[in-house]
Order: sequence, then C-alpha cells, then structure tokens
Amino acid sequence: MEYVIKTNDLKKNYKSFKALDGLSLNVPKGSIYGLVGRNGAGKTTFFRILCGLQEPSSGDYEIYGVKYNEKGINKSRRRMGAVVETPSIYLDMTAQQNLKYQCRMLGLPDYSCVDELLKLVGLANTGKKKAKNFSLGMKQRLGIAVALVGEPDLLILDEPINGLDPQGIVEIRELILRLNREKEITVMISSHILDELSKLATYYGFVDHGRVVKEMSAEELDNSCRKCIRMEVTDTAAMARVLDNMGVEYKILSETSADIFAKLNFSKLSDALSGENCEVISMNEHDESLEGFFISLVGGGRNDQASEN
Amino acid sequence: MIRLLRTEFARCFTGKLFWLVVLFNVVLASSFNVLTYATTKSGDFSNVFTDKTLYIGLISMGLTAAVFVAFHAGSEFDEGTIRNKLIAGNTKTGIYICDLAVCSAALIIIQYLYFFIAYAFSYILFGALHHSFSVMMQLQLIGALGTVAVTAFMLMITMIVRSRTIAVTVCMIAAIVFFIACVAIINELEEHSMELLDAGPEIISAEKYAVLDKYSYVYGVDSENLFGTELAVKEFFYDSLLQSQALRFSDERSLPYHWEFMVIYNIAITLVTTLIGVVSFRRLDLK
Repeated sequence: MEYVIKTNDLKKNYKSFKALDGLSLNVPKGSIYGLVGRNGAGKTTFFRILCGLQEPSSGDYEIYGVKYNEKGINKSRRRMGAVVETPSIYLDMTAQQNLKYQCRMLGLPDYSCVDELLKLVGLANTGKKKAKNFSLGMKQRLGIAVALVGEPDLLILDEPINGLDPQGIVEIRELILRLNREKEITVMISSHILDELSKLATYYGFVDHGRVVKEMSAEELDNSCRKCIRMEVTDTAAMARVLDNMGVEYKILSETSADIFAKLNFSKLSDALSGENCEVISMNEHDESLEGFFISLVGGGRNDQASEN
Repeated sequence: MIRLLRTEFARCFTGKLFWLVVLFNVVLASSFNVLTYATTKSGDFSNVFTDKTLYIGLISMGLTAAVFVAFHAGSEFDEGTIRNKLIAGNTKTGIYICDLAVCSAALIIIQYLYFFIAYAFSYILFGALHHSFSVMMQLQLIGALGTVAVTAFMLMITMIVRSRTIAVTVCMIAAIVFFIACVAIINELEEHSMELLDAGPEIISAEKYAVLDKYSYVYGVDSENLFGTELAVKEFFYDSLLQSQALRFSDERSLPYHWEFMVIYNIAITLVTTLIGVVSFRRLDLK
C-alpha cells in the first residue's frame, strides 16, 4: 500500500506538556483518513506540524516520501491543501481575490480555476462581498476552496464542519466525497461529530494523549463494532436478574432499555421476563457506533485537557 | 520566493492599508506648508524657514511604520494566512524576508512621497528653500536606510508577538518612547538644540533666524557635562535612532555631524534585528 503521510514516533512538547507523545500513523493514498480523538489529544498539533507551522520535538514524518527535514519537503507541501482550525483567508478581500492571491503565490499561469472552485464550494455568487462579511459556513467553504487551488493531491481538514448548519454539513460532506472520488484527492480529516465522520472515512486513526491508539480501515471498524439487541422493557432491574441467571453480557441504558451482546433464545428470555412481571415493549438489532467504539477504546473519562494548545 | 514577493507586493499596493497611510502622509505633507502660508499671509514676516517640514515624514516614520507593519504583517497571524504561504512551499525565513522587503519598499515610497509633496508645496508657496536639493536627496537617502531599519525593528516585534493588536500597541509605544528619548538626548548633547527646536517650521523673528542660520549647519555634540561611557551610549542613540536623525536633518544645511555613523547604524540595525527576527520566527510555534 502506498502512503502519502507517514509518521514515526512523533513527539511535540510545549514546555512540560506533551501534545504528541510518540504518534505513529500512515495515511494510505486515495483514502479519507479520519483522525478521531478528544480535545487535547494532539490532532491539531499534528496538523500544524504537517503544515510546517511547528517543528516536532523529536521523531519524524514524511509527506509523499520526503522527510520533514529534507530539502524537498517544501515541494511535497505544495501538493497539500489545508484548513486547520480556522480558514486561512484575507478578510478584507473578496472570495475571488482570495483565490487569485493563492493562484499567484503558487505561480499558476492563469486564474481559470477560480470560477470553477467558487462554483464547486457554492460561492459563485458572492461578487464583491468581502470575506469578513461572510457567514461562518461561507468562510469555511472559502477556506476549502483556497486549499484546493493548485489541485492538491492531499487535503487536510481540521474540524471542517465546526459551526456549520445541517445543510452546510451535508454540502461539505458531499464536497469531500466528490473530491475524493472524482479527483482522487487523499483527505485527512478530524471531526468531533463522529457520526458525520463515519459517513466519510475509509480509514481511521484513534488518537489519545498524543499517540495513536489504533489504526484501522472502515471495514475493520465495521467488523469490530459489536452488534447487539436493544430491548425496551417495563423493568430493566427485573431483566438484569434474568440475564444474570442466563450468564449473558448486557448493558443497562435506562430504566426501560438495555443492550444485550449475545445470541439468545428469545422465547426463553420472554418467558423468564414474564415470570418476573416484566413486559417486552420493543426489540431492535443495533450496531455499536463509531462513538461507542471510540469510547470503549480510549475510555469514557472526562476531557481532562479541555483544549488544544 | 520571487512568486511570494510578487504576490505580496500586489496585496500591499492593492490593499486599503497602503493607500490610507499614503493619504495620511499626503495630508500631513501639504498641511504644514499650507498652515505656514496662511500664518505668513496674516502676519508680516519676511523670513520663513520651511525646510523642517520636509523631514516631518521621517520624524513620524516610527509611528507610520508601527501601524503599517503591525497591520500588514500582523494580520497574517490573526487570519492564519501564513499557513497558505508555508503550504505553497515557502520557508519561514523566506516569508520573513519577503515581509521586510514589502514593508520597507512601501514605507520608502511613502517617505519619498511625503518629501516631494512637502517640497512642491514649499516651493510653490514660498519660492525657495534653505537647503540645497542635492543635500536633501542625500539626507533622504540616509533617511531611507533609517526607514528600513525602523521597519526591520517593527517587523521583528510583530513576528515575535504574532498578534496584530499586541504588535500595533507594542510598536506604537516603542515609537513614542524612541521619540521622547531622541528629544531628551538631543537636548542633552546639543547646546543649541532647544533653540533650534523652538524655531520649528513656523515663522520666526529675524533675530532668531540669524541664530538658526549661524548654528544650524555647524552644530553637533557639544555637551560639557557628559563623558566616557555615558557619552558614548547617548551618542549611539543620538546617531542611530531615526527620529534623532530626522530632527537633525531638519536643521542642517549640509550633511549632518556623524552622518557616516547614521548610515552604518541604520544598516547594522537592519541586519541585527532581521537576524534576531528570522531566528526567533523560525523557532516559534505558529498556529
């Protein structure tokens, strides 16, 4: 498998705080790589390092096979586009001026891509409106358009749907999928909205305390996510007694619902529950979500590092 | 780097900031002469010393550079646009040097624009100037080196603090402190400085004009109270600070005392502050 980004034991310290603590991951070419981690896990720090904004304290990383301290790294970075935290745009310029500025900086022969990109991100009709007067979603889309100037092979998106309305989220999702499928752009994306990420990502990297806890493909994740039966009953305490007697793994969700992680003879279960005066209201097959998998992987503790540095 | 330079020059000269600073300097350059002319008309003065107005642009260059550099380079941090430059294959050193080149060029243009507008107004309204044009050009050239030095200093602050708001505050405070220090040092080192300062660009009496005419191009450090290290340190600031240089330009008919030191110090300040700035900027963690 060909990788566009490889990191090896990457560390970044801010004084005594370890933002990255031996982060090692590989981003396969052509994938949509979802970086999952809670606040302060090191995702944004990692993206900043990739963009050249910061130097790692130790370890190394490669972009398109070129190590960060080698001469050709600037050339490799030219194949990248990125939106990290906030979109990089000049607020006193229009959308078109921002894109033209980027074209000029990249040395593109003309501005033919400008209109196409504005159309692609849905900003074709913004005219002379300055970016400072854009809504958050429009700024985010303009940031992505700027990142797409020069037809990058790799797109890095840090929380690209933060602050977007539901319509905006769907638009950005479709845009990312289109870029990946039609233009074969590798996308590395982080998001707190894991449900949304699960609709996009083909690979996952789970980050906790500055290191990758697990890397897996979407297929592997599907297989790893446990299936269960979600039951709604009149009395989960009674159900717990029955399930304990049957030696079955379960999880009580509320006073009336519980997940059962086993294959059962439901006629027997139903009879046993009747014996305890507990009625079954509903029963559905349920997949453990990405969120559930992530929590079971890194533990459900509170965010003790509330913010990225 | 060339692409970045071209792009940044285009951003600078098409942006509102540059033209606002130009407009401010045009108004400043014309207003002093117009005010002097109005005062001359209302009174009955035969001698008018307007040469000082040619150098007010340089005296105020500290503040002009503080605002221009902090807004031009400082907004890169607030808007996160440095990231685009790095991703476009530029190095942090390249970005820094490019900012220095663009800000210096813009401020030198503003400096000369101020000079020529003030010169034109002086010539049109009063007919002649005290200094010769060739000396004025030489002084402006030393001033241009000073402008680059001030720009380099302000850019160093801006790139280290990485915030437009903090940068503009720190740079303006620095410019004001330097100006106050210059006036204090000149007063201390020059016996005739107060008299010269009092003369100003306004209309002066014939007696005072005679004093100014006698001393204005021969004075230098003539303090009888300062010696040794203290004198050397104060002389360093006297020769190296742009405002001090500009205040002295405005009273000289020929190249001022220690003009060679001014040139050397301007170049040295540019090099040292740029070196400190580049090294610090390369080590800093950007967002």
